[in-house]
Amino acid sequence: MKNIPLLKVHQLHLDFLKDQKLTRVLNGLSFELHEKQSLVLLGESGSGKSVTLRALLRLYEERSTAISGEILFEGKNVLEFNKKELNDYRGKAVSMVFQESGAAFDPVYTIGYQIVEMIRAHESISYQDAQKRALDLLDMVKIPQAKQRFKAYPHELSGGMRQRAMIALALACHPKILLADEPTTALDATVQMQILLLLKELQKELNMALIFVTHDIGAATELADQIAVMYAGKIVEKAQLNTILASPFHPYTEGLFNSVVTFESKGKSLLAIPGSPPHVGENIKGCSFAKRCSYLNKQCELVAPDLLLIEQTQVACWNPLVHD
Amino acid sequence: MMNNQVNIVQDPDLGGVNQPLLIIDKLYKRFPIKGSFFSKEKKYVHALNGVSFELKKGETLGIVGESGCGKSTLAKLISGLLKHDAGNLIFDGQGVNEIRGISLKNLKKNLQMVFQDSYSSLNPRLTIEEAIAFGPTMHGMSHEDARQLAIQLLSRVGLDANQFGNRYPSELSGGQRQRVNIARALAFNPKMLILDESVAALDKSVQAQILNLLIELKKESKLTFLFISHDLQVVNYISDRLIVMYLGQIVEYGPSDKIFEKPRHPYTKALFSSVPEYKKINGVEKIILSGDPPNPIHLPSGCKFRTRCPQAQEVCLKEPVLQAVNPHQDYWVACHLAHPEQGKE
Repeated sequence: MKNIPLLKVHQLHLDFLKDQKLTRVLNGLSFELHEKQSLVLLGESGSGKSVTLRALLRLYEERSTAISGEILFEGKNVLEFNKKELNDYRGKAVSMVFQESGAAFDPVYTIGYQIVEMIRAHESISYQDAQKRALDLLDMVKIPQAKQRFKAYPHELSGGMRQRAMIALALACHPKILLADEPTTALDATVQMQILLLLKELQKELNMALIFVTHDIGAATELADQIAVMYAGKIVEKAQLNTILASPFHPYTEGLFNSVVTFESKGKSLLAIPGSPPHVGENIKGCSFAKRCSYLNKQCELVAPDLLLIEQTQVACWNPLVHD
Repeated sequence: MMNNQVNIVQDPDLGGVNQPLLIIDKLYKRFPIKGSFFSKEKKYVHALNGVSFELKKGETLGIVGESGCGKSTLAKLISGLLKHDAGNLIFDGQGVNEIRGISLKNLKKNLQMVFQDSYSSLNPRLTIEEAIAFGPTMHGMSHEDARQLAIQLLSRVGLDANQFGNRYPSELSGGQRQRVNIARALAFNPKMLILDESVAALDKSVQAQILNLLIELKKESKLTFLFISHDLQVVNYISDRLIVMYLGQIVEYGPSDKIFEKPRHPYTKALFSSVPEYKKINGVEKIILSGDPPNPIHLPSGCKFRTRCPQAQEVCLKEPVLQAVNPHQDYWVACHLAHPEQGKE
């Protein structure tokens, strides 16, 4: 039993269907997530990181998306779930925190009511008990004066508070996996740190697994056990946090780390990656990073590389960087 | 024909090298809030509460602060897009928004701005060549010359005019569009550029390209930059001096190296603590603040930061003054605890 990962994604492909045209967004994504682990999906806009999270919850309509591959939650394929199973899976087993806390809450109900509603939807429990639990949850995410805030409407809370309330909502049914889609991007720097630390603490306390999506390497280093770097709908490199920071193998990962401005880079020219990321759905033969890569050879433009194991890192590259 | 260098001549320098390009003295700005019809009390958002600083010629001044601290309002006041309520704003020896001051046309020729949203700041119906040439033709340049100038500027910001000149903004990527915006800002050969979160919306790998471009441009032509951002590392990278703002006031102001080496104001310390890498490099105590910034409609009395400050004391009920903390008089902090003698009398 222990060998079955909590979540296993295998060769996940996802296309959006619009005007009878397919646009490929995810291109053969594979990863595993074990209990209590935290995985950070790192990537630039358009790399498919948010789409991955939504696909994991099957939030995309079947009419307009073509999805193939496997998403195995505790060994069962999520893509084959029926409505009832899906309801138990979404929100209860796996729940999600979104980037825009303002848009995730219904503006006409109080946040307390929405948390209670969530608990009662998944468990047969009285309103009073659910209310008690909601208050505990608000306390747990460190919202001051939880009793008053219970009756507050979403617009009455500040951005940081609302993000906390949304975390409380996501935790309402003790999920096994928490998906977080850039929950700190829209927040101020000082508030962002509070939320990151809160997530880290809650993850430990509640023994959850966490998938955290971000473009911010700083935030990633705070939370991650493992980092998966995404580019054009694919994972190009995946490793333990310290391994990837010390020795990135993929040229894109290296470029991404180099182009981050740090306190040490003052006075030096930044080593930027030339060009810009490919458009979503652009048809690329071979490696999607080839156009911007400085270690290019013939093979790169012809055949797309698969994830291969080098030391302890999975890399999808024909010419991985050599470290001494 | 192609080698013709078209150029707009920069206005003569007034007042010599040592005169600051921009002097800002006790600037105030508040925005009225529309209350209910029956409300007696008129409410205001206090965006700027007495901001004073100087910007020397050829330097880069960074402004950091959280959202709502007034940094963008400041940029809009300087560029003449908004009028200030009180205080003085002097650009190159001439008052801005004053009857006898600099005319708006002249101000805009000498001071240009690059905004955060690269898409909405370009007209979607003009090709980028037209967009860049538009300003100069308004200032009396012939169409042919303006087009020539646009081609030059595009190559200066690293875009091939043959490839990109006839495209529309929607056909470019974010980084390319921001390059166009920079080219357009440079069209008048301005003395000063205000960069209001200009790299914030870009991907990290593209952001580095734009930062490199800005530094290159600064080396080539003696531009003065006012660089506004919430990203501390980016601000530190590009600026010579730094202003830290909180709720419409300057809390710390000085050479950026010194501030980053040893911040004095508790808010600055907290801001730096929120940068994940910072703690590894510097031994500065880590302060994690609780709560959000207060509402700028009802400002706290005394020190504006005291409601969130972990070191708040009784003296903080009095408003601190921005005072120099070093003998050179180039490093200023507004905190009672940074100047123990202040507030005692």
